[in-house]
Amino acid sequence: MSSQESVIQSLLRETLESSLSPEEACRECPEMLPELLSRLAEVKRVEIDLDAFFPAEHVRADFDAKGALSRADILPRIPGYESEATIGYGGMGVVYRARHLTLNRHVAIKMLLAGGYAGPQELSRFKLEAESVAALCHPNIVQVFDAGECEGHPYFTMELVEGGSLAQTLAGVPQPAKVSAERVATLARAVQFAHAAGIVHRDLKPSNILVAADGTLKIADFGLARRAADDDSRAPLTIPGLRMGTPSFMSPEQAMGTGNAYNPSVDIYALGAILYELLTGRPPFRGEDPTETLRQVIADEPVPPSRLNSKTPRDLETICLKCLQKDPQRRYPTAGDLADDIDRFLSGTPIRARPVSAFERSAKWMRRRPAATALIATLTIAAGAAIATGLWMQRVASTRRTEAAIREHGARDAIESALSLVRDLRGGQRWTEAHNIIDSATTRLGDAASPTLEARLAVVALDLQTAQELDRIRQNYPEPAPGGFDYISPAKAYQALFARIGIGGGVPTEVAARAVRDSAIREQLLVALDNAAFLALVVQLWSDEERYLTIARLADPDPWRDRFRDSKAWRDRESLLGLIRDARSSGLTVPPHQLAIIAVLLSGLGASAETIAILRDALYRYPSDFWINHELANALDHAGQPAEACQFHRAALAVRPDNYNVWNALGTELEAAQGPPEAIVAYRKARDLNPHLFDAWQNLIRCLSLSGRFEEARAELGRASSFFPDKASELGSSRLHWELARRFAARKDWRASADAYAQATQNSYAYDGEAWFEYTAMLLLAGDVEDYRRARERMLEQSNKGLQRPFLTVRAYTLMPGAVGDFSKPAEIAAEELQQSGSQHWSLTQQGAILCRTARAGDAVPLLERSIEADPKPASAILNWLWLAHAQHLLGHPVPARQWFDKAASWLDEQEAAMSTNGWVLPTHIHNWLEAQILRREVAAELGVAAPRGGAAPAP
Amino acid sequence: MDERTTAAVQRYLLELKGDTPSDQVVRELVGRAANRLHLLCSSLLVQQYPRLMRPPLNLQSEEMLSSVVERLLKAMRDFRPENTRQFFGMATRHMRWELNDLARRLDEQTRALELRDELVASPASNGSVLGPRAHRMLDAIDELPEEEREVFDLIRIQGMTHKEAAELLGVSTKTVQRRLNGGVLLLTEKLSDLRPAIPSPGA
Repeated sequence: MSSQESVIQSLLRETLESSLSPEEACRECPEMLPELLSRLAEVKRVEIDLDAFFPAEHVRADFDAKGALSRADILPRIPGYESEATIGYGGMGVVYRARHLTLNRHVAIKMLLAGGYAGPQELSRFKLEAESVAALCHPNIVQVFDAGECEGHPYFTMELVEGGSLAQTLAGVPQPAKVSAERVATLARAVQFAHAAGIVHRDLKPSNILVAADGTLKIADFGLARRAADDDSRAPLTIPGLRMGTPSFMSPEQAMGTGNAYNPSVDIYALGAILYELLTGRPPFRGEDPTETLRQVIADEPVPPSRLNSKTPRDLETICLKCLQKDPQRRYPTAGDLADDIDRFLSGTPIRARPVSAFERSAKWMRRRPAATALIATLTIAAGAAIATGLWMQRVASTRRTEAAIREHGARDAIESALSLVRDLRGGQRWTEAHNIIDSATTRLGDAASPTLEARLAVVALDLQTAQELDRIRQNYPEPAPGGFDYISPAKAYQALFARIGIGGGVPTEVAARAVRDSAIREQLLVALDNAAFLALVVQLWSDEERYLTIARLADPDPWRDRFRDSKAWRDRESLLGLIRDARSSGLTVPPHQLAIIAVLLSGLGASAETIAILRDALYRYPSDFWINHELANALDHAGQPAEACQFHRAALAVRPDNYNVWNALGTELEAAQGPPEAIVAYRKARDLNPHLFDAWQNLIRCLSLSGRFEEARAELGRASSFFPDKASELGSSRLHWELARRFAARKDWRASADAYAQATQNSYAYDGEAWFEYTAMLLLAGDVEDYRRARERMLEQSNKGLQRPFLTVRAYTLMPGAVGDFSKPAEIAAEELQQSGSQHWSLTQQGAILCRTARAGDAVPLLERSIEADPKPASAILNWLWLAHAQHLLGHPVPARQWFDKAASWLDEQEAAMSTNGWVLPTHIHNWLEAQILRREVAAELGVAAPRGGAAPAP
Repeated sequence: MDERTTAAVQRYLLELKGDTPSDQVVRELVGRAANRLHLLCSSLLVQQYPRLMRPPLNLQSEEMLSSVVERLLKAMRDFRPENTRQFFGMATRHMRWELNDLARRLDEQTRALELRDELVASPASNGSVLGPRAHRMLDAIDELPEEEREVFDLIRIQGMTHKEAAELLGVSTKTVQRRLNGGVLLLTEKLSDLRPAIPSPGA
């Protein structure tokens, strides 16, 4: 340790143990203070971590198992920072005031609350972006320091600005033109600085602009907040319902969701909107609700600011309106250009922006409202004529009519634009928003007074409903059903829906096809027809399958798709593979639903490798599709890759956590991949979701038994029996008894084990040779020779019928010495199996055993020795050692007999001594171990050695 | 739910004074350790692995924790401590093993979860792992010198007050505090690589 280090160490201890402040501790060595402070901060960090891991007892009272942050009033523990207070809430999350422990300065921490559970991808992307924003150092941009994650919630830390936001400062009051211009010029320069660094804000609005104590404007949340909200395909980082926020400052291309939201021109639009609000006290568009505002942003022209505030200079109005152009191309090319033009305005030089001419304005208006234009022209002429003739009353009446006409056409205009908006939203499956738009358009039907529009709106609403319903059917299948998955209900749902919209059975296919082709929701109908055809195939409604495919073919002719929509191709592996091949070679993008259909059909036709490849491909484009995840998991499981299958079933469960069949399937995959204990939770979940799911109970009880959790297994068995009173043995009581029997066996409780085996072999394992072999061995160990003989005779019977392995039967016979004739029958039926595996160690051992029992010990010795060579591991060779001891004894060679016996006995003793400490795990295969117990006893008696402990000797 | 630690331990100390503890007292001590372990495990789970408790895994924490506690009870069942210090030494060792084991299993689960995320989201990235923080910390605690570790165990793992720990060890509270600080300093050193360096002021 260097001398400096030892000084620091003792300073640290001194500060920690006494009430001295770091400054006091460093009185005599002030140069050490910075290092001491930094070390103290590090210690503090570790202590914060320790507090989190090892909370004091009293913490439990307010301990919220769902994570402390679900309550925003609890301050987060962020390493390196000490949170002090909550200073604000927003759509995104909570902002805290905190102190940086090392730097001892105050910062603001913005934590995205609902965004917990963002994947590592999103988090690392979020961090990357925070890093790039952190690189922005500009006096008018809130400095971001770093980003991280706390308890699953992404956060970033930033400069603390305590003067409130521009929105709070303005409070709807118009500002003087000069002040407004200066402020927007400042903001535009900052925005330009960020754009030059490749960062677009995307959510500029007065509430995102902070005002420092000295009045400096600082733009907050550059890039970060919006970025997360855009990406709602995965985990939205916003709180549901607040996603939209106020769209008043949103550019039309963002509002439509069509344009590139990363384009800097969206910020220029927003700067214009901010200038508008500064000048007029209100944003350019503000509807009664976000949906209406959205519609206005997309479709309406802003009212010129000078109409709302007559003091607005004409040039500034021109600059403002140029920013608010619907077409991004017509706005300022850069924020810098905007700032320059404002500077020109401020210095009194001519600005570059040109006002929209009266002609252009009216041309624009007329383009969007041709009928209204014609009408108003007529009315204006009429009104002119009325004034000319001096008929005052008439003039008033006609003015009213003009107003009514304008209102009427305004309403029609709104409905028209709503109709087109709904079409876009429907394409993007944004059902809620589309419904909102229709609702708000419906309220204006009265003003519009147009039966045609009313009818069109009704059609669009109906189409929307149909499209949504089609989507729902597709998203919901396959529903789980006891014993499998329900494909019948969705097939019927499609049938009913098709009938309702006039393309159902009974309608000629040509007519139906024309209806599909002419429908506004043609694409959705075609997808539904493909899916319905597939379901019809699954539930064997062949005529429906043929019909749906025909309608789709007629409505949507295309060489590749015609080949796909062919029921013969669906039953032919080569055709399906050809379709995929051709699509690939011609660069054709096959929609996911068609990929999934082809893959599942191929899987049914035994092409599992191709199925997996195609489904993986489909998943990249459709990652959260339940059906594709589920089918991919199934395909992987069938292909013997249960570990991988787990991943996709988990993904499927993320989409639909209530699907008990998937939980059950996940359990079987976990069981195969990681062993029974890991599967228990999944089976339990399946069983909880549907207590009538027999498989789940069965699997659960089996896994509990195999994991040695017998008490739980017994309890579950009891509960299961109330649902399935007659199926106790199938539910796993046999498995439970078998595992119990083995456990008793390991503890050498032979009698209890034999009783458990008797139960196990009664039902499910009545034909299981392994259980029966263990049972016979156990009866012998328990000294129950009579039952042993009965049991082995039953094994012989079963083997005779070909129901059990003859090897196990003859092995059960050779466990006990007897007359030569006793062994002839079992040896005869086992001969073939033993011969086939003649060079395997187990076969050689058993052949030796038969020879020993039939008075040919001399022939047994070389076979037993060969068996040791074939597998010299003690766990296998133990039987050969014992049989060799027995054989040598029979041959009258006591010395080698004793040597073999001692070798076997000492290995067994050693292993068994270890068993009591390792949880009674057997040192070898249970069959070998049981046989070794029996042989050891027999040979010990022959050689006059004391019998090993445990168990009663077989009755004579 | 619990009595305050002070009262509980005082009573044990009183009852234990002089002779070998009765089964009843040992049962109560084990029960107390089990409760504490349950708290530490759930805290570990919630603090470090919140994702595992949400879909798709929906880890059933109670299930997981009850098996952990069960193992502790089993391990301690046949143990006959000669004094409270020996008891707490043994109990804490088991508790740290269990925490370690739980952290390891949770790390595996998290990796599995992340693997899934990767497959589903975009295959090309090697998404960062939540980090073996819990694991590393437990290892570092394991490596503390005997005296520091014992104090750490009593205060942090067993949740005792400084006074209780001092009484149990037969030292002053000042000594307890000193050993505790020493332990934290050593831990800080060992764990310094877990975080990115923060520039110190003036550097």
